[in-house]
Amino acid sequence: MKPFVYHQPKSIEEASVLSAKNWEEAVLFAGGTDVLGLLKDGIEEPKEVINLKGLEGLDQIDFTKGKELRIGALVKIAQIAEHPAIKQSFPALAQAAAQTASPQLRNMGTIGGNICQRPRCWYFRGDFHCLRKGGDECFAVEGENKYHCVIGGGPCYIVHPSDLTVVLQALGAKVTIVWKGGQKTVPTSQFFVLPEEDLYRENILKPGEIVTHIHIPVPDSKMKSGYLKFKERDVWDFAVVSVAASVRIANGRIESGRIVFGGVAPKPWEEETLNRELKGLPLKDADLQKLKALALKEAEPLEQNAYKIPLARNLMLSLLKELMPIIPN
Amino acid sequence: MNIIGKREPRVDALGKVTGAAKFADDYNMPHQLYAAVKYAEFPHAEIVSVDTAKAAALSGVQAVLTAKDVPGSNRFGLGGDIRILADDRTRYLGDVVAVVAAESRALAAQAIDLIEVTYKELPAVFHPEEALKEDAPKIHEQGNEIVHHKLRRGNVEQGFAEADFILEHRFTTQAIEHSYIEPEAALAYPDEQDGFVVIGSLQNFYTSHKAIAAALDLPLSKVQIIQSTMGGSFGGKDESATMLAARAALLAQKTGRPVKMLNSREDSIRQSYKRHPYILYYKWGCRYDGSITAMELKAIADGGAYVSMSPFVTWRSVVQATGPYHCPNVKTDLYAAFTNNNFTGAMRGFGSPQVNFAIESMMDELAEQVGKSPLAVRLLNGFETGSVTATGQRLNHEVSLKHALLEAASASYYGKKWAENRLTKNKSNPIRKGIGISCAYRGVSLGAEGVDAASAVVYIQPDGSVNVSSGIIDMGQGAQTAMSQIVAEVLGINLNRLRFLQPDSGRVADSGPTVASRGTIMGGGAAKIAAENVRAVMEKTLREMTEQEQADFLFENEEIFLKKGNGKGKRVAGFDEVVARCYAKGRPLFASGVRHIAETNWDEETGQGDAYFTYVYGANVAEVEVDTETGRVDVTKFYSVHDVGRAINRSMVEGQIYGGVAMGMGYGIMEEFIQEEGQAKTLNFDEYYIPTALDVPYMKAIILENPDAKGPFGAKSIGEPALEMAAPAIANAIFNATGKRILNLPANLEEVLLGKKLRRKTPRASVSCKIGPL
Repeated sequence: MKPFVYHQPKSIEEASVLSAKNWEEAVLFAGGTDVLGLLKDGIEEPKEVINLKGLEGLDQIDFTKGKELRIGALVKIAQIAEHPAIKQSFPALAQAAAQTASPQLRNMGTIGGNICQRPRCWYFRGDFHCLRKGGDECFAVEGENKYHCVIGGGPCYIVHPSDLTVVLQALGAKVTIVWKGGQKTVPTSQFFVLPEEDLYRENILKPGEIVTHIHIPVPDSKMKSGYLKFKERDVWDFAVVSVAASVRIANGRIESGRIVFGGVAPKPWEEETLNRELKGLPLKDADLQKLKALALKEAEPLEQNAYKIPLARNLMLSLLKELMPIIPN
Repeated sequence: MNIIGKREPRVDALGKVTGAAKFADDYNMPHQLYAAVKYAEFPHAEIVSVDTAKAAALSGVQAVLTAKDVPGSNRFGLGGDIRILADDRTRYLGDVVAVVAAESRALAAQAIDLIEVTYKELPAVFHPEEALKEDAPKIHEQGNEIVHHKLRRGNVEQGFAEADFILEHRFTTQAIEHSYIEPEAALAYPDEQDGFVVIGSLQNFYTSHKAIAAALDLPLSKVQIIQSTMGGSFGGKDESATMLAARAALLAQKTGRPVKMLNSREDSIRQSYKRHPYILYYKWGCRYDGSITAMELKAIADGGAYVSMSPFVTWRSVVQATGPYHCPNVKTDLYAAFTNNNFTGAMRGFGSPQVNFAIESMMDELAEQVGKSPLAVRLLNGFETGSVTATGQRLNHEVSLKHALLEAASASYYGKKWAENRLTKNKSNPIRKGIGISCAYRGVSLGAEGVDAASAVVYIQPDGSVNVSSGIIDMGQGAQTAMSQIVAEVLGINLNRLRFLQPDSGRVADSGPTVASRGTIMGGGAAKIAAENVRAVMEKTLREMTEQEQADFLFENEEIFLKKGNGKGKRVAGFDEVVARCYAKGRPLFASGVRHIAETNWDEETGQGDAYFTYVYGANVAEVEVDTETGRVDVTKFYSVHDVGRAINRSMVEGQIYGGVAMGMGYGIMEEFIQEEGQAKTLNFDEYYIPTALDVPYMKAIILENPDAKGPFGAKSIGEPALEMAAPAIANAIFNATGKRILNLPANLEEVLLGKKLRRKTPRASVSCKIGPL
């Protein structure tokens, strides 16, 4: 690890000014579960580390019945997994939090850090000067690409590793971003970027911008949500493929819903056509099969990861069957 | 029994949980140098020249060695062909062409990059069946056939003619990494009398001792091997660990300084030998009643670059290839072939997991074909006391195979669940339940492989405390505790009097390797004899004390009593008192014991003979849930029944069973050492999957005890039996769930969902490899 200057700002403004001043060479530090790894492995060699843990008011979960759930960026993932109101009203979120990493990491890691974590691509994390690190080659294209993306890739083929983001997007969450002198709130679907938009970052944050809160609208009683995470063995690990869904069911039909995939793309992957097809869909097995054929239709797998497509489709089906009573053919 | 069978805490537990235990890399010395290796750059190439000048010139580099610098024998192993440093050619990518000793690890690594090797690339072969073809590139002068074992019994042609139908399958099994948690490490240093000491993580340190002394060109007496506490081995720290220790010793000899050598996980997986992958062609002649008229087997094992243990591993396969089943006509041909893959050698199971997977799958298939339950066909064909094996050996001990099968079946409600899982209700679920059964028998210890003898020393100190030493080592399996309990039983003392000494090549006579599940039966047997020899000295003193020349004594609870018939008579003295008397009379209480069993024989031409002096029997039942949408197999419950002869320590037997099931499950559904064109792909645990604590199912261990005349207090074996039949139980459970027969291990997602393995067809452009250029 290389030496760096360690800052402990007392306010968001101060943190924002510090990070804006030396944006390219500063790193924001919350739970540290990702940043420490990046520093130790020499993936990032910042001159300044800005600790956010001293900022006040970002470690609260506020639940307003019938309105919204607001989670501060410094809330620990373990708190989300165990929060009674979240377990009851946002089961998908509680499930995803409980399946994130290991107990130790959940006790340290924050939701803000989780959605801003860097990719796990082994070339990015290894001794390879890859595209994302400023090199001129994505080694995954012709290398070991079993765990890389099947859609939304190019010229870099990472997947976004977070479990929570997949669920947040399915639940229609928004992210509040603050900087000195301003703030904005954007839907999660607009927060993440593809490599073709920005090769070096996974989100829209600009110099001095810091994520402070996540907002999730409280669903009505007919909404159901769930999360399925697939790993090759039972181990604390990132998802090979995951899927989150929130659906509103009434009169034997899906009224509306959102399906989001993880592990298949450089960002949480949502398909407009698929969501549209959900509207008014009867709860019949045959209709679900049609849905299956539609998902990830545009996927272009690499040499070793085509398996992710049927896997994601089957997971989607398993999840929908878990969420609602399906009438067999 | 006082202490035999009790759940005594392990004698090595405290050191391990407090961190006081010293593993090989925990040993350091002042002025110590660090070693690094230069790897082969081609899986098969002639070494034209090695230029070490630039590396040697680097400041801080104290020695650079190539094969030419080895003063003694550069080659060792069963076939005498494993090179400490590659000399004429490289034969796999784990070969090492040169070694460096430098003042720091970083400097050593820097020097390695400065070594330039000129190669003449040779055509390579990576598949054992291709290697055996006439026109295949020859990896060694003698050709690519390492060994061809035969077994001929009865007349298979006639057997097939008598059959109602023929059952035929081709099975494949994969290479397996031992995955010991502590990679190989050693510290070598010059002693005070121009000899050398090597402290290392060595499973078979007598073998290492000979190879290292020969390499240094020194007599055995001038080389001392001290075995450090081991973090696992599973058969894996034989030749691989010897290579590393020998390289460190050569550098210590050259520099006159202590040299530390340590494998990273990637180094370890790249260099070390694996469990043999097999290709097995089974053909059975069967009757509609479920009996077997003939078995024919041809199997080819990938031996990799060197002979290693291939001849012995495949020999055990031949003996056990027909399983614990009656069959009058048998023809078996087992080959091992050289390839340019990692060489393959000893690993827990040693030739049995491969054949067991195939036989037990065949037996399940036979049941399906004749419409019987898999349990019923096993009971129909299984061995009983007095049965004659395929090698013509009559089993005169208690054959508990059927007992084990019935225990496993009743504990798991096998019959009921097996029938229920076949109903449409289960078959229409996306997640299907399955239950599978397997059984096996296993020859205990080395058998007709070679001389089977082990030694131990028991030394009762003048104050009554006891040191025990043995040539059988503890690599985590609990050998020290088992031997301590045996000694404590013989002497009638508490376990806390005993202190086990770390093995050392000068301390106890060559006891052969700690392999083949022979630790308790041979090492424990030797410890028992040593303790009895010491006790005989005490009894002499006791007879004088009691003035009864014919008296027999009972050693119990730290006291000695006169024997009265078979019961306890008058108390004579306390243990300490008798010890003090012995020393006062000039009778030190120090004795060694040797256990030697030579009751095996073998005919190479016909494969007939008494292969092993005794056998163990066991049965496994696995329950699974198969996700038919993803191919994921979840092993939910596991029942493992083993006849161990006598459990010396029930907790340790259970521990062996739990560990064996976990390892066998890894073999069954997830582990695979993958090589592409000789290049290791799975170099660390991010890609080489072993089951984690979260994967391991609920396990029920059931211990059967039928004491064997050959074992100490009747004890036989458990180490390898615990693992060797787990995979087929799981594969059969998958069949019960899905109706699909698993023919290729592991039964991972691809195999279960697609019925084949997904493999890249084009060469790789780049690799996730941190250990040097390729």
